Amino acid sequence: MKKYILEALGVPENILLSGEKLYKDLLKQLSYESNETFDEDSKFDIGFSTNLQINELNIKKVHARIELDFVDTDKILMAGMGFSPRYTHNIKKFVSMSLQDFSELYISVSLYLPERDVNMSEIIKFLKDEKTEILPSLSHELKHAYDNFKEPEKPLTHIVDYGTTSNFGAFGIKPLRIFFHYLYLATLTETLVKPTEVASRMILSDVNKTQFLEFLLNDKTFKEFMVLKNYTFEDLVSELKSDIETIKTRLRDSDIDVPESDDEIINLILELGYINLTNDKGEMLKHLLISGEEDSLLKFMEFMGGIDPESDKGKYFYKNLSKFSKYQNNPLNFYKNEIKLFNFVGEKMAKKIGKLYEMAQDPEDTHSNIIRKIYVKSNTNEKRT
Amino acid sequence: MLNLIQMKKEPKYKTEWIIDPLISPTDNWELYQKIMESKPLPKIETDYKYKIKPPKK
Repeated sequence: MKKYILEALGVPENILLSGEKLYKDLLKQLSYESNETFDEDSKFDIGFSTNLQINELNIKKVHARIELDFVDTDKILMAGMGFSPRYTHNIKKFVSMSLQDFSELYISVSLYLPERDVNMSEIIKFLKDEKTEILPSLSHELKHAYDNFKEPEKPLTHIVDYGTTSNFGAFGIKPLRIFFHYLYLATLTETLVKPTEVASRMILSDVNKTQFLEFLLNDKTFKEFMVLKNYTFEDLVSELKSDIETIKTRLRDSDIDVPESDDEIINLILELGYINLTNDKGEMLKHLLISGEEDSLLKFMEFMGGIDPESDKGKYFYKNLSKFSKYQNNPLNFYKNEIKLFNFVGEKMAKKIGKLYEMAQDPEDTHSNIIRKIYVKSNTNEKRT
Repeated sequence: MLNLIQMKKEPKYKTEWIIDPLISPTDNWELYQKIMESKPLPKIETDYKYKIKPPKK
């Protein structure tokens, strides 16, 4: 597999090998704490030296934050993984800049634990048993790190869009929450990393070219992009109609009058979804603009009295508030336009992930896949040592 | 001199994380909901918090 083909597929050279090494390094580090037992929410950091090569990026040190939350579950679950770009916000240029030393990687691994004493050895066993889920997620985080290395500067509004969309709870209403999940999937930040995640799953599952179609049709990421491709505003409305009792409950819980007809209820919840998202965006942008202020007196004054609308910062803030709330007069158009974006992104990503076929092993000619050969060889070598 | 001072200045790192949730509402809604509802749901806001008044020119 030539380097240029891999890049066209959106999978940087060596990222899958680096993901495997990171996974093994992490397990090794955690094994040093195998006698540790946890009985309450915990958070701890581990740092270790490594050597991860992803194209021209070389990572020499990993700082891993492990977060353990006890919840009502009967088994250990993966809650999430994260990457920290270590941003500093330049409010004169209205950008967030990653000024970190790119040879150091900051990642987080969050787990949900059942409400009882949990030993580290159980956690390690879980991480080993769930390798097919965990390794692709680590490769996904490595791709975030690589993308950040390639483009360390992002507009503040980009951070706001991604942060609010991924965190928006949508009042616990399933169809609305799923809509915002799709919005998160359709962000550039996520679409850039998805081919790497799928490629990692494909290599782990030892998929050859004849098996590729079946693998693809069952892959959760590919399936989600196919849903995005075909999703319609009518689907959203019909799913909300099926969940009308939950919507009524949520409205009553917030002391909001429930309209008579289902159509009015759906229009109202969609409008409220838009209002709350817009408010979250405004809050987050304000937070970034104030927290990034270097003048401590001005920062204090802005914290107490808000941003001066006459200042450059104020003009930027209000200009973006206008953008965030541009559908104020017709909030349904917000959903309709975003769904058009889903359809576009879904189609583009389904095609892009489909091209990973090039990486699958050819059952007739095993020499056709150099990446796979390197992968197998490196693992064989590790076992020998 | 100014450059030297700037070089000595510690960058103001923020600790924001790009978090990828691994329990998704599309994978397993029941589990997702159970985890979500372990925290109280915030009250729904009914008004725009910020009035959009462009600053005077």
